[in-house]
Amino acid sequence: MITLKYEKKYPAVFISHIDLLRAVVRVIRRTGFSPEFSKGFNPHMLLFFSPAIAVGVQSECEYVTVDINGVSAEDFMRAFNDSAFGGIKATAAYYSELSPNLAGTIVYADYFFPSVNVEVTAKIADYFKSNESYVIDFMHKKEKVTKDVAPQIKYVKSVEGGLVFGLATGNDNLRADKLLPALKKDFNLETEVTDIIKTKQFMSFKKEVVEVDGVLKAGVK
Amino acid sequence: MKSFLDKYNQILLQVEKPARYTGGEYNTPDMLKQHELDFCICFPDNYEIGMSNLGISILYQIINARPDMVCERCFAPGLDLAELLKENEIPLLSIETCKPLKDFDVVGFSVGYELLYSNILYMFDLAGIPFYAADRGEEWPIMVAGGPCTVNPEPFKKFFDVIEIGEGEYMLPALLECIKDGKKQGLKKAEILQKMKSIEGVYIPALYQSGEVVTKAVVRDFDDTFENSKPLVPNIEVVHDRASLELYRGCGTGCRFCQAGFYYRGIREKSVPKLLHLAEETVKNTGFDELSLASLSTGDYSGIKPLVIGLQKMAEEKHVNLSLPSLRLSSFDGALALNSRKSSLTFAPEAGTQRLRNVINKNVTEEEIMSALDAAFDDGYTSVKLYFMLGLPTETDDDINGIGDVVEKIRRLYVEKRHDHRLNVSVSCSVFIPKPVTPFQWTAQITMDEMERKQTILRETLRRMKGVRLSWHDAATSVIEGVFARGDERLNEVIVEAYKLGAKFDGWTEHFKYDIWKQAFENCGYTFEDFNKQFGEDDVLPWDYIDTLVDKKYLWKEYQKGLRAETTRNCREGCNGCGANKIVKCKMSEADK
Repeated sequence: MITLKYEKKYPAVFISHIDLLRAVVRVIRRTGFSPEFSKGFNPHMLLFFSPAIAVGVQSECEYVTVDINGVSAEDFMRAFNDSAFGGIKATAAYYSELSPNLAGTIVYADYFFPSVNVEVTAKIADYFKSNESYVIDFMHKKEKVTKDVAPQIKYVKSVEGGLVFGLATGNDNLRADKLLPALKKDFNLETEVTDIIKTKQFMSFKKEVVEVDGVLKAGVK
Repeated sequence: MKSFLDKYNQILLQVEKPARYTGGEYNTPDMLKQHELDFCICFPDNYEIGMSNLGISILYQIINARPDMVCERCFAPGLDLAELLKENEIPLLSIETCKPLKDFDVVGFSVGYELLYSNILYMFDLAGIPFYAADRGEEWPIMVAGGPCTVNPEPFKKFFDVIEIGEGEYMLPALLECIKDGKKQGLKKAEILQKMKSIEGVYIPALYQSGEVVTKAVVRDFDDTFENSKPLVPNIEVVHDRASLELYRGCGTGCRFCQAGFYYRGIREKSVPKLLHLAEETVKNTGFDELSLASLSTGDYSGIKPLVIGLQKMAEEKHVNLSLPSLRLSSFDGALALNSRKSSLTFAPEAGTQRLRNVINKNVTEEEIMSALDAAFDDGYTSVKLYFMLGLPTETDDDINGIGDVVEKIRRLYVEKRHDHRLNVSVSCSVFIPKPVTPFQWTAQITMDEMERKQTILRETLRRMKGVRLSWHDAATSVIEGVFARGDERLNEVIVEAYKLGAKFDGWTEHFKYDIWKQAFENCGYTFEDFNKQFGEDDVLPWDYIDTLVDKKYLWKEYQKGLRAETTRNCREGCNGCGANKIVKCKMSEADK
């Protein structure tokens, strides 16, 4: 198995997850390498993606695992990048014996919300330090939802040039694009959805929560 | 302060499928190279349809292969984006560099369907470009139209400065070259247009003088023309989401209703080795997992058997699905077995009786269909699609009932072979629309009431047949299509009026509004019947100044033969003397010799 870590930036940020799956299959077909296919009635390439990212949000840390043999991780990454379309670029490649099952084990991710307004970012960071609740309204499947999302926010860190939010992924997730309108309304944050960058993903591994890259570097056994 | 592009990106997040508008597809050429002319190729329907258009794909690659020009794209934006563009005072932008259409040197529209005419104005309007060429001065781009509908450009000719008649592979670069040189020399638009007149296939409505003939542009050596092996690979699902292999141009079957069959004559085939090479290159360059053989009558390609055998090998090795012509499937060794999914077989008998098939010169017999199905049912196929037309010249109710007979025979064959009733038959029935440059160009289309009556008969005939699903074309859209297909220049103002009343995306059932068109015709003082009429042999037809190489006398002769239910042989069996040979020699591939 080879797991590629890749960026999803403009213009690929506008591609939905379902379309991305099809487009990445074509990228891999263009590499000329032959991954394994399922043996079923309708054979498909065996690929395993990390959880979906919202349309419009950039990422520096998406992952796809390819069931492939006979090529080094580095050569495969090079071929992938030669065949990739606008906004998609692999930045690391890891070999592993088993699939890391990232879709099922990633528990949260860091999102960088850029902002040059230091007062605003300090105010937001302070709020989350001193409050255990943050109730927001957002649309879910065309219905308005009011929810306390503080449990899905692992932390908020004030960093140079903006804020980093640790947001839950998986079944009980909080999407960065759902959180943003509330932050704009409540704190006058001037960030736009397309400014947000997912920077790191964290997974549950051997009863610990660790950065995905660390596990992949060590090789999944 | 937010940049213009930031604002546009935030707008895109509010619309359906924003990736339609942002590009970045694999094989996108360098748009930032130094160039002397920029051209935007437009398609007046959405991204999914436009990106499925072979002509757009070919011309985009040809122009971008030139060192001195760039070609960008623009498709009709969805209504959601259109509303937001207007609200935010953003003009219609190209996909590649988000450049306003009005800032290009040249803007070209591919017009492939009569019901897209309102969308031409929809895009003009969003781009802020005046509708009529006469109202556009030097500051506006030169607006060009091309595509199959330019065979009768009368209904929309006033919107364009230049209209391309015929195939664009050589005509479009020549035209753009002329504009580039003219601009370099500081010539006025009218002077550039004057120079352009001498290019084969170019029609300049404003400079046309009575009696002039515009001869269509045609690619002489199709085997040695541009190779469409690096098309853009869409990042979202499009209608034709696969690689296309164009086996040949033209068609020899001579179906009398088929505009493409007459317009694209003569027959020019690519050779089998060239096609095998192209197939391999295209699959390699795109990553598509499906390859379709795209030509007007694929099964007639003279080298079809060696081609399919060659493609099968590649398909198996590279996990590529091949779409093959159903009628000839039984003649390809192992071709039926190749399709492990046992998808449906498709046939287009077009008419329910042999008599009517003779009228339209559709030389496919019931025996041929049954023979193909015989083998297919043995192999496990359980689904058949059939295409028919209603309202064909000389059609009687017996012919409509004949459609039911064909379906019933297919069902019986299946039961005999498989001893069960699991067969699904999908019958799709369109309404015949007489088109220019066909033998039926003189014929009036049946009325809307008659269309509906015939559709009712067919529905009743098929209603009791288990496993049979009927779909049919809306009568109202067929009437409008018929009117615009054979209409004249009076329709320019009707299109403007209809657009002002709200017509757009008329090719989409959910957007087509018959009442708007009715109102627009009334407001302009016309009826549908003013345009949809029976012409006589000596009548001057609105498109008579266009020479498609096929003689008008030949078409009339074919029309008369059709009325007598006499057939004409396939051109591949011997030349029928249509006239196309006067410029382009029909050429079969090596395999045929």
